[in-house]
Amino acid sequence: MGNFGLKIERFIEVFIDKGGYKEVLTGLQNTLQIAVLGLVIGIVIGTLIAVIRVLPKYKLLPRILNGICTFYVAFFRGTPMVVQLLLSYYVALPLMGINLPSVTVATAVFGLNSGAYISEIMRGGILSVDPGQMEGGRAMGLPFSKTMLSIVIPQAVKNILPTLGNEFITLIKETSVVSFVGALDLYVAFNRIGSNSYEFMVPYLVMALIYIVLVLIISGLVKLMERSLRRSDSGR
Amino acid sequence: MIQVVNLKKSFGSLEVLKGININIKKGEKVVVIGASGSGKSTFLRCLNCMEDPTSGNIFFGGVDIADMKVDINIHRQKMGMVFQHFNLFNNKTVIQNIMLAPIYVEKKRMRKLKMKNPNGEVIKTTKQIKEEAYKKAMELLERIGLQEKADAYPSQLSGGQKQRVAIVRALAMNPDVILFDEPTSALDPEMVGEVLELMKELAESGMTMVVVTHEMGFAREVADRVIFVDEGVIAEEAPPEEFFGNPKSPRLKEFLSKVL
Repeated sequence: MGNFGLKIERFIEVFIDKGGYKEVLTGLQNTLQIAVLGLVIGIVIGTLIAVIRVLPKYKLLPRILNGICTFYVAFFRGTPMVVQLLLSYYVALPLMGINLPSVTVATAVFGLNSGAYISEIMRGGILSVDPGQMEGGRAMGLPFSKTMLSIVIPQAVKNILPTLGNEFITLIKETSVVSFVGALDLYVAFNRIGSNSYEFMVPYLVMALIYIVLVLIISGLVKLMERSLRRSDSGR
Repeated sequence: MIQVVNLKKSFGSLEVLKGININIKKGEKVVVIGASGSGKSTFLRCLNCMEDPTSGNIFFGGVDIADMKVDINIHRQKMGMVFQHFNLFNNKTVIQNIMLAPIYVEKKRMRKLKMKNPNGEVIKTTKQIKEEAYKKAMELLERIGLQEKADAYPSQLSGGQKQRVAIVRALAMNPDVILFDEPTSALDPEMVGEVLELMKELAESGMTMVVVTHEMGFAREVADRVIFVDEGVIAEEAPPEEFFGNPKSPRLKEFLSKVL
């Protein structure tokens, strides 16, 4: 440990003087892009699936859609994210003759993957809302879709916000697997700094610190959102 | 106005309604009573297809709304419903609760008018629609003395206030009939009065009402006709004086002796 000062010096040299920070910034940007866009895509897909799964089942179309969703969720929850990433990047897209940047592919895969998880979170959220809310809307002649969007889902989201925050944190941390398809994320950026300085201790410590700070910021934001959404419960 | 023909409803193998026939005229106040499990609430909920009838017809404004091919939403807009547990939208303020459906319906009508407008009707902007809905909602709130609660959330209201808001929310759609599903059963006793008072006011204004309730006093005072539902059929129906003064079937006699 005696030469820890030296290690820091070497890290600073590579990080600042040799421009390692640029890669870190790009890595941070990619990490955030994959996680944030992935979450947004995941929420859209997850909500769609959740709504399909709570649809009344006595007609044929909801039953077919429900079957597709069940398969989708089983696939994306049943295989590791890395496998999905590799399958998409090295198998599915080449077979279709499509060439996309690895970050784009990673974003899409993260969205598809978290969609499967969020669908179950959202379904739980929708089921936690008093059925009387849906009845109240339908009885006034509002269609199922309008009542779902304006009344049920906002209340469901309020109930599942802590769990959604959890999902976002998981996504941020899981972005470290995108190096498997050659995307530059935080992990890759710090790994390169380590290789360039022949010194891994400080880069990895700083990397961990950045992840922790990111997660703390997200937790704080979720808490703020929760508080503003709780307004409609008892008092202001 | 509402004609029910041989209405049947089963939940799985349990037949709750075994053939109900009734004709409700415009402006009529019909009170439905019966023991719990008799099917009275199911009957009411079938009237606006909150429960889809298993068989039979429900003619409302000349259309059989029990037919699954009919767009039920259009007809429900003309049939208000008030629930035992109010079912106000928890994520909306009082005024938003009242304005939501009128704004939605009017916006939709304007969208259609933009495509096809044979009578040259004036097309309102979204702003105008909202202003109109707001004005109407405030008038309704003033009518029940709750204009100060316009921006409160339902969780900040008492049970009686919630139910009164729920009633004017139904009124905001200018319905032809309002269905009441045990509107006072979930209320604290001291709040029952204010809700019944509002319902009486509505009755005097000529609204067509179908009310499932345990409030015999209300039935006696307001109803044009009282209906006794028992084991999924209408066991007896009569004007209140005759219904309470001279019940015919033994089942009704027994029921009245327990509740009166």
